[in-house]
Amino acid sequence: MYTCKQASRIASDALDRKLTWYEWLNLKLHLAICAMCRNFEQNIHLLASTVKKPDDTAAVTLSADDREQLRKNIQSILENK
Amino acid sequence: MAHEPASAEWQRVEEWIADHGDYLYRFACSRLNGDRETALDLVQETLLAAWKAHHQYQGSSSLRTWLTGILKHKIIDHMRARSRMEKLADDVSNDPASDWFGTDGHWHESPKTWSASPEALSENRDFDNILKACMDKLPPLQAQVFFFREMDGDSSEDICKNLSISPSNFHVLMHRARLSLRHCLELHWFGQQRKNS
Ligand SMILES: [Zn+2]
Repeated sequence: MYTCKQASRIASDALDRKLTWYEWLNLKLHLAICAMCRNFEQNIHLLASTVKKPDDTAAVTLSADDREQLRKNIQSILENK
Repeated sequence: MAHEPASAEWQRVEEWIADHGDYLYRFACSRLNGDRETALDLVQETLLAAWKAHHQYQGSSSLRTWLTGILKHKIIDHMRARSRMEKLADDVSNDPASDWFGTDGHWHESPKTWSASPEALSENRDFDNILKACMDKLPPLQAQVFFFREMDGDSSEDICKNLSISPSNFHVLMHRARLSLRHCLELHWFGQQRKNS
């Protein structure tokens, strides 16, 4: 029988790989009797579905100084090639 | 191409900076835990590499997609060098499981049900800020692996190959990233919501 530590690891692995039959069964057996790990599983599924690519409207932009530095660096490298 | 006048060559790069500079910079920042200095370096390397290879650009994908692909490789190279340096010391050798579990393998603190729909959370700016703050606290390699997997949907095999890590290290890193993020979100978001309702 899995401990909660083992069950949480297998529940996490299930999002990234196919479980073996043995792992799948042991996870189901543990989840059947452990509400804490059922909650953990629910939490990480919700986490996976809310994490998205950063959107285009995000506030991070190149500052005027950054742009200038980028221009200068690239120009000098291109000129000295 | 090599005999193109320098000003024309330069103009091409100038256009890339104007049209895609912010996007590439934002992408790099999001993958580097907000390390803006390194992000700027990698954007510069990307533009130079793109300039060297621009005759290979077929136009089959958008220019932005092509540039982002180059940037992604630069980020992977950067992380790979870094993970070699750290020898995964921070991320894999230590066992921070004791942060979450007792020696008997039981939870220190019981996870609770999260009642919220993914749609509502994705549109919530406040939640988004908390999520970003929680991700910023992850160790670099954990954050990288998590981003590639959950944000980009890359396959486990590709991530292991690109970052030169073993499948078992990959799964350890994902498990730890999820444990940390779950804990952080419980503390700073879901626990607070429960209190207020
Ligand atoms: Zn359990």
